[in-house]
Amino acid sequence: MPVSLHFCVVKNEIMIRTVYYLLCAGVLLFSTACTHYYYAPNTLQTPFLQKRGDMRVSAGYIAGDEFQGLELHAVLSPVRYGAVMVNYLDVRNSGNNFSSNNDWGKGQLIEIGLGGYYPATDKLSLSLFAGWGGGSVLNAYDQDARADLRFQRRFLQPGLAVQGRWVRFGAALRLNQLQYVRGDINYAIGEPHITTITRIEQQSPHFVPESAFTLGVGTRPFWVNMTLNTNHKADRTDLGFAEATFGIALFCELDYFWREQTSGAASKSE
Amino acid sequence: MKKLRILLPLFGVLLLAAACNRDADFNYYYYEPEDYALISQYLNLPDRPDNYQSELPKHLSAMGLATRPVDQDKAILGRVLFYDKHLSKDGTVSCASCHRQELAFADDKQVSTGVFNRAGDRNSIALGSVLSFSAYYGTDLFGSSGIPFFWDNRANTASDQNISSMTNPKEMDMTHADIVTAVQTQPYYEPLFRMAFGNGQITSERVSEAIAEFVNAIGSFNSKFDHEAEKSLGYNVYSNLEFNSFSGFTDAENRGKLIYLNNCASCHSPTQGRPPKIKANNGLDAATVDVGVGGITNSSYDMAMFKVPLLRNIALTAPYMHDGRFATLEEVVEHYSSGVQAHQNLSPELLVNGTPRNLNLSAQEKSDLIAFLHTLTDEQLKTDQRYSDPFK
Repeated sequence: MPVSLHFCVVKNEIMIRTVYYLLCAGVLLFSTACTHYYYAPNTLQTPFLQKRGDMRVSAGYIAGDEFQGLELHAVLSPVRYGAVMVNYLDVRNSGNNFSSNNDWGKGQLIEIGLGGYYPATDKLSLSLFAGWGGGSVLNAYDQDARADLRFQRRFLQPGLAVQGRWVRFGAALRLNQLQYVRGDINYAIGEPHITTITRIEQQSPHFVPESAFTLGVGTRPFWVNMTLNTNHKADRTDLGFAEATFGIALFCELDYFWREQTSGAASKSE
Repeated sequence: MKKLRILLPLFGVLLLAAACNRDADFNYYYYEPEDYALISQYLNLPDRPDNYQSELPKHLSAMGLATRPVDQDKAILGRVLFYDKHLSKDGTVSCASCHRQELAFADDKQVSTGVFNRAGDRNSIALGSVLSFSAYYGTDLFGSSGIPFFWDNRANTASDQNISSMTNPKEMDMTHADIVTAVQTQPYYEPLFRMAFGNGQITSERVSEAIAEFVNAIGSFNSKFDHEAEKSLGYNVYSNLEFNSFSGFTDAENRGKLIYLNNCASCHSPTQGRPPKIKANNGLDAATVDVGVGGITNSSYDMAMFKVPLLRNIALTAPYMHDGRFATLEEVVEHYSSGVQAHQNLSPELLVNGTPRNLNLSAQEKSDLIAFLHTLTDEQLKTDQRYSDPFK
């Protein structure tokens, strides 16, 4: 998800970072050297879908180094083996490593995905979604200069979800084609930002592979999901793309309620 | 539901098709559109700001020299002010009138002509490259003190220098109030000042600061000498410079380089980075005609001493010396070869046993030395758009 924000460069190994994120559950890395950046992965949905009528929604908090925001997810299976997902994200900079009040950033994304799922067992569900979305990244710098980028993103997302009584686990890949379609950039933002944005423009569309691992605890119909999303694009740093985000969300299986009512009504009528 | 099963994938295909690739449409801008429209009525300023930040070649950076950070907005404003004739009493003279880009920001007159055709006192000093000798040069081998401006070194900074010239009756003959009024009446300055200083307030100090930013940013490092020095020297500046011939030089140029290093470099710098001496008497006259630095310090030891200029672009900056007495490089070389006069403050480098040291160069050696001096010319500087006249 595109976020502008100050990205503090911390060159930790992925594993170290992964463990750190999971353990700290949203406590962000903090360092001293900061920069704006222009893309960060939103949380990948890894829905556990079993049958037609399944509907899940979640609302959560997402954070990366020096940015944070709100995320909303929804997925519905209107037909057997078929589903629609919608994701929304709004993030803004956070932290104190800003040179002035004129130095900030924010980003939004909304996207829709269509796909299929296959309930391999009553505890395992496989899925494949394709989707499209769009959003914006607005960075403001000193001198009141701004860079406003608009983008579209297509993605293909294979994933799996395992759900037990108290714990659920999800994993997914997201293969993105990230196309920056418009930009209004004030040269006064200066270097190295101009060079970074020029690079983004010249190399667009970008292929951005991402992965996500979700760990959920709770029980039907409510879960608390924690997701670590990692951007695997090799030159992400040169492009000002964030390396990782962490999300924590309250996840609800809405279908649980009307199925309870339906089954309750059915048992009464019986 | 069967319809849905068919429609869902179809919808997906349509979605992806709608998202088909299109080229990025990035609009880079610097000025607000209305500001740029106004500015463009008068000025040829690019919509993308020029980059005035120079990168020194290795043979200079290896000496510890470094460029100072340049405020691009102030340098752009300074460029406009530098070329603006409104900043003179009769509207006929700008800084650029006496510091012409095609002449490495020198003048081809013995003394320049100011407002109302008034003659100046001394020859116009080349400003390319001020970056090499400005007080703002930054950390270098010689400490933090910079090299002052004017032939008599009376200005410590480029800002002091330009305000002095603007208010000099023989040059631009303005008062501080005149400067402010002249700038305020030109509509293109308000947005430029706003960009440079955060608001459109115009003061003579800001005018001076902006011009200084531009002048201090003028860098000239693209001479044949620079290319060869960087290529040949690496970081062993002094030893290699003296003992290695430059592969890209002609035989005459290499011979001239040796003559220069052995006879001239101790005052004018072996690397053309910064002159080791900031003032000297070079034996032009046996008696003091112009007191030079002595007129500022009132010291007898400074009488008839003048700034030691860098020799970058020297082939472009005729006539030579503080009074422009020598019209050609041949005349200059001849002076050092046979014309050095005894003076009480004659530089020690030009003395042998208390008497003037003439180099007594042969005709071949003079020719070789001049060939070397021509390698110090930076042709790119003459047409560098960043330093050119922006007025339409």
